[in-house]
Amino acid sequence: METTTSPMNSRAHASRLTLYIAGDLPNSRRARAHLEAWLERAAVASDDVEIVDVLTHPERAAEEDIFMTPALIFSGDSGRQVFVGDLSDGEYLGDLQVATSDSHDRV
Amino acid sequence: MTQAAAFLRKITTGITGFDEASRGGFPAGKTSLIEGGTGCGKTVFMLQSLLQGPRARDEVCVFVAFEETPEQIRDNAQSFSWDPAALDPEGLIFIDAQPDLDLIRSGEFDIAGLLAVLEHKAVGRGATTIVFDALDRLLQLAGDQQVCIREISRLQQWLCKHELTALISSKCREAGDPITPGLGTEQLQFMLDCVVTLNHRVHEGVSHRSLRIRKYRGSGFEENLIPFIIDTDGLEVASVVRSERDGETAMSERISSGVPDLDIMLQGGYFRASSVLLTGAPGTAKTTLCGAFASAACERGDKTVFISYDSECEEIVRNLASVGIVLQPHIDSGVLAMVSMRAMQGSAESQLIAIRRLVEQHEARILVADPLSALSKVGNTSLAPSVAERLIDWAKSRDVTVMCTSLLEDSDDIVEATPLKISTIADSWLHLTYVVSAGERNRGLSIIKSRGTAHSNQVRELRLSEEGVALEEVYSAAGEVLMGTLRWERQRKEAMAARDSEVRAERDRLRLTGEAAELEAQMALMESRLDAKRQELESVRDNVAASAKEEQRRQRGTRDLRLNVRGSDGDNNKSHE
Repeated sequence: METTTSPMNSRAHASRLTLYIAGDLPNSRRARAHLEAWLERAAVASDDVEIVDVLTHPERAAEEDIFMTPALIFSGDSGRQVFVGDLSDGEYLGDLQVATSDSHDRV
Repeated sequence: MTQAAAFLRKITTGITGFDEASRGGFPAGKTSLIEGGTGCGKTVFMLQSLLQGPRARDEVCVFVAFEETPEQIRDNAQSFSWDPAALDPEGLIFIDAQPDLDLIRSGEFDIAGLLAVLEHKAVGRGATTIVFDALDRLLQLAGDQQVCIREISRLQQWLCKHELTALISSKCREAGDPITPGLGTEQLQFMLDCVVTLNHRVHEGVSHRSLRIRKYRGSGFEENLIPFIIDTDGLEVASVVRSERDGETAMSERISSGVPDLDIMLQGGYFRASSVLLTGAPGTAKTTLCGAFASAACERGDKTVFISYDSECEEIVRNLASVGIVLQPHIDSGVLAMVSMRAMQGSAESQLIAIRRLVEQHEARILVADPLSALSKVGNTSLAPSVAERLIDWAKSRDVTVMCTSLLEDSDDIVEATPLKISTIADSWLHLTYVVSAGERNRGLSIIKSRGTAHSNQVRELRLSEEGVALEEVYSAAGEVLMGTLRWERQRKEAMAARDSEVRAERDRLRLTGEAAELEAQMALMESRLDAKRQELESVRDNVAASAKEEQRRQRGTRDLRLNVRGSDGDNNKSHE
């Protein structure tokens, strides 16, 4: 899981996850950890998640209207879902699992 | 020291009343809070501050909208009469920061994203001022007071770092309490440098808007509630600057009241830039005196605004023509602007602003408001006195002479003065009354006060005729001022009485002369009779004396005879003697 932009394969997916973070701020750090843990639990490959640092790539935040960080954007056929916060509330991530399972094989 | 200077730097908003109250606008390089309930005009206030402030100076500004789309705000801005050039997208950057409708919050967040976006879009383009409209929307999402405080601090630090001036709006209740307590939005009040609360309430069906500067670090400010209105020009904030009333600026020029007799009573007329109050019951010729004053002003060439709350302008022009006051030519020539505000509703404040605007547009030197007491109509009673006072102050500061009338139903109520309580600040106060006696109503005029002028304290009779307005000389009799037929009657009666007494006196004179003559004649007669009597008495006395002498002589004769007879008896005679 690299703090860089868009691996091409991720964009090719019908649905994708993007985590916008703000450098090394505590919330962003926690969000990355929470997301990583969840990805592991859900057996989603971490390179399917793009991580964008708004401090180094503010234009990406501007494009996607990311004003609150950290923010996890799920975009798929069913639309766009925005999760804001450090993802400490796993309950909501469960929703995400349902959403991602459309494009990933359930384990 | 330079720091102190920087601290006090301000950015003007172009909203005159607010710039005055805040002594120069919002603090530059600092963050200010504009709070208020729904529909208070927060967005309009901030928009206007941007457009007529930094945007008018061609600075780049950013408008971050948390509650409306940029299109809505742009449309909103265009509905006002502001310069559309200020809305140029190059100079005014809109950022739609409305939170996603389906946003799910999972844990704590911060606003670093917003700041990154702003840095990218605004700082890079040299923006100087940023507006955050409805920031509370974002803070509400945080749902935690500690997070709110932290994020506000983050925002402030960021703004400070980039030396940006920011305006933040947030919803609150009337007292400044947040709509949703416990979320930390109220912390904004404590953390920011300048807090302005907007207020909108409806009193007896009339809308009243006001703003109050709650705090302003490092600066003096007007602490009272300042009324304002919102119309097509945006916010118009009441001026709080009081005119200076020192003797140096007082004008000694006299201007005619339009009634020559009254000018004499006032030693030449009213002072220029003074305020004149006319009070009286309905029909006591208040409007007529206003008309005469306006007419005289127009003849001098003074631009005049005549505002009528009572009747239509045409009616006034027609009615005044019947008493020889012709206004139509002045209206035609553009010297006189007559405006009927009869249909005007709204708060006293909005009416004051309307009046001010009229006077400014017309560049008037004379303002006539008839009757100003219309300001204190339903819903305005509490605010109207200060409005009237401010109108007079404002007019004075601009060297505008004001004549206003006030309806005074009860002429005994003079202690209570006027409903607007302007009688104390008015320079001249003329009271018009009806004097009812002997089945007649006559109009009386008295000067209650006229600053700087020795004036008559007697009630004069005001007579209206086709030739115009005239004041009858004071006619007082037996401690009473008489008017109308009574005056005429009394004058006549006294003249007749005077003639009567003259005749009577002549008659008396003649009679007395006659009597005196008669007495004199009688006296002469008496005297002659007295003389006769005296003579008679004299002669009687003479006779008596003569006869007495005769008697003596006879007696002596007799004695001698006796002596002769007794001759021998000599000793006896000696003993007898």
